[in-house]
Amino acid sequence: MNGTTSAWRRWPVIASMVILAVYLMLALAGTFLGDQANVADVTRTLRPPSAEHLLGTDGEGRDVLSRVSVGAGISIMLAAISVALGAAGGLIVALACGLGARWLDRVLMAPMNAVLAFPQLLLAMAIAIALGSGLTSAVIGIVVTIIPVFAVTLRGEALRSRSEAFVEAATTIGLPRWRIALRHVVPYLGTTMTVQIAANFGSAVITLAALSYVGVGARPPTAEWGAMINDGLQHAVSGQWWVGVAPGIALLGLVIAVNIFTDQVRARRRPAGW
Amino acid sequence: MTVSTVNPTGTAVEVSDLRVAYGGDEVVHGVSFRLRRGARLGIVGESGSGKSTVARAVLGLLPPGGHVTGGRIELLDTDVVGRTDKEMNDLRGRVVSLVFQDPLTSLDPVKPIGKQIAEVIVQHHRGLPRAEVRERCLRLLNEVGVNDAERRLKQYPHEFSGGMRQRVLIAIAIANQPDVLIADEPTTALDVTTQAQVLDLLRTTAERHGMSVILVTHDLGVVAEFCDEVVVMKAGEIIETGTAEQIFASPAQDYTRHLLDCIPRPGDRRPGPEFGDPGDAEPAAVLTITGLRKRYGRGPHVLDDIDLTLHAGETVGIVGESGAGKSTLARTLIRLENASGGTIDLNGADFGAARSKRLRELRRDIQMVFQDPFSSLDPHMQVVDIVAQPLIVHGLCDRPAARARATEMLASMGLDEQFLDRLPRNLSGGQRQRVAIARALILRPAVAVLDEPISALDVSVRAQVLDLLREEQLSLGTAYLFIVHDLAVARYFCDRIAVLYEGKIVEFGSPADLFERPRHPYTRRLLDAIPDPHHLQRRMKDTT
Repeated sequence: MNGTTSAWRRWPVIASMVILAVYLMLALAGTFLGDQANVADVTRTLRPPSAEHLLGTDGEGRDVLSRVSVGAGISIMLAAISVALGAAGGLIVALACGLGARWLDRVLMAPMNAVLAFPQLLLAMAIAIALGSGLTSAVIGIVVTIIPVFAVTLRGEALRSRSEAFVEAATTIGLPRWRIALRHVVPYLGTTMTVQIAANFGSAVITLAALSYVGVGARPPTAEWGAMINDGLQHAVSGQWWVGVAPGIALLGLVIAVNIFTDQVRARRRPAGW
Repeated sequence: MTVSTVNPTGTAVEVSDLRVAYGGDEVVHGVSFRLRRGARLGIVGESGSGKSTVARAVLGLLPPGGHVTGGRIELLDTDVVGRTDKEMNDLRGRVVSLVFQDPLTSLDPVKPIGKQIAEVIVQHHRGLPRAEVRERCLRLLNEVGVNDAERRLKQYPHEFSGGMRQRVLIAIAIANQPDVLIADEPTTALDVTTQAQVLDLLRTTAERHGMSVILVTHDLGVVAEFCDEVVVMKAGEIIETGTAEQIFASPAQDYTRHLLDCIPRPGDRRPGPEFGDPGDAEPAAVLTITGLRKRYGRGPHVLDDIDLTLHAGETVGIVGESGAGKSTLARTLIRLENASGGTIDLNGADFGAARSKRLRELRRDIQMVFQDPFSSLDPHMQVVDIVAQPLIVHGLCDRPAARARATEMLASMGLDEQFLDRLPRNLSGGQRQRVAIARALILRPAVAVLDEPISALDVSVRAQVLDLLREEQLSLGTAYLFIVHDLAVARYFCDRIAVLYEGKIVEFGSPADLFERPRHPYTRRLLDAIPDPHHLQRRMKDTT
């Protein structure tokens, strides 16, 4: 194995990390812009991309690039919050199921499997509608659908950890079960957690955009990608494609980069050699 | 099937000045040896000696990152160093072939055995009619002693026992009648009696087809039984080469002698006074098991009516093959599994029936050392914390004091300060097992269950760990229940030995009684199967 092949093999992860860094910088720039991105200017509506407005302006004369960068911040931040809450909730359920009594496992896994039986997007949508549309409801909807994903995968690992010798050793020392869970099992779940977090981040970004697109997430004038794509749709028919395409590409790029990154993380997890 | 003519002077494999490196680190430093046609060569060494790397290099199957940096490997007089993968693929199976170590992971779990054998045959005989392939598969299975081959062909690996899987792997390896067979620790995962059968099979197959064999192993006993010639390796270099008789009867190098000395000879005895010498007061019973039973669901009893008493300071060995219930006994005794019946009395307390908090408190007096120190230590914890943990759990002292005690304990076991903050992965196998022993003994338990504590370790480390266990026993007075499959070790270390067979104790007595006058036929069978590296030496002495 020489240097060139390993560099060649590593390029997807490098590329995806570069793209993710660009998104982070975009999001950072967006936070400095803040409400400025929502200031309408009726004198310059629907301008095509130019030196002044790199991605043109939308129907109310707002700079599309500014709104895309604000949107990057919203997407990344809310997806991160959803995944963090979902992971934490899933971890607690998984530990209770994997290490607790068998009846507890049955009681907790039934609703988890019920939630998993629904398409993620539809369920998130239903929850968001029930709670009244808005970004908070959207996040709650996403969290509810993510918890079982974590719970099921981590439960399997937690069950497996029970037969690991070091967990058994902790039992024979006389450690109570909850301390075994915190001290030994949680670190054991670390790698699986990492992979799941990365994988669910991408889907959380998409779900959030989808909810806003159908109007149960972010409401105008919030510069959320899904809402912007919806807004751009009406202009696309009349030829002002940049209004909708710009946030669309931004969304696509972020999700692809996250997914490539996830695949790489997953591949690394595999033990090397034999 | 034609028996190829064995030319005693012909060379099957000649390795000269072989150097292998992983990345920039050279791990094999100029190794040379020669394997005659039809001969059986053993490469012995401890982990890290480079023995497997040499074998893999001959096959052209070095793990990623490994490459040959110098020297020649001649297979049937043609150099194979620097051949492309495609060229090697053509040679592998037909000229040289490998018998893997682990029969469980080396077979594809989702394909029937027959399909896996057929794939190998078709690899070198494209266009062979199906019926013919099937015929060959059947013949191979019959040859390696898999009965009922017709039905077995359709079965999956999990339907085979360990020994049977190893037979299938041998069938796969010889499917295309290679000239050279390389067996990398082929019997490490097997029982003594199965090991004897598999070695026998390897030998007869090799002889029948005139194959030359390279056997890579850490087990000197296996080499003594199987090989004509021996190469002893250490740290990527050959220490000594010679015929098996030479090596075992009159080793020229200190290292070889050291390796041989690490295997207890019959009659060797661990240091310290014998247990139950006449004149001593009857020591107190610390653990009494009565009528212990264990079954899973409605299955048969894995443990059936076990009665056993351990006295303070003594070692009781439990021997038997895998499946006899040795590990189940250990796990039930330590309450990792719940017994289906019987009582466990620990220092007068009913340990067998204790629950939750009471159970956790009683655990202080019965600890366990697991077989594999790689998996029994939490990979995320520092050594000192692992050893200090039991003290903190039982509230015997606060954290700083516990760490101080742990430091002391580790130091007494030869692990000084530089090891304290390491993670288990940065320790050698022997060091890890010391940590595991320190963790088990820091509570000064009345009983320690040792589940094969040395079988995952290198030969030269085993003796050290046994010595350490004995020292601690003499100073703490802990009673050991020693689960062991190696009968030589049991004879060396135990005060009394129980032979476990199909969940029952079939024989119980002192090592002398058991080894000199075995009563149960199973004990006799077990004793006959032990490979003995010292028998060659004895044979030499007999003739002189």
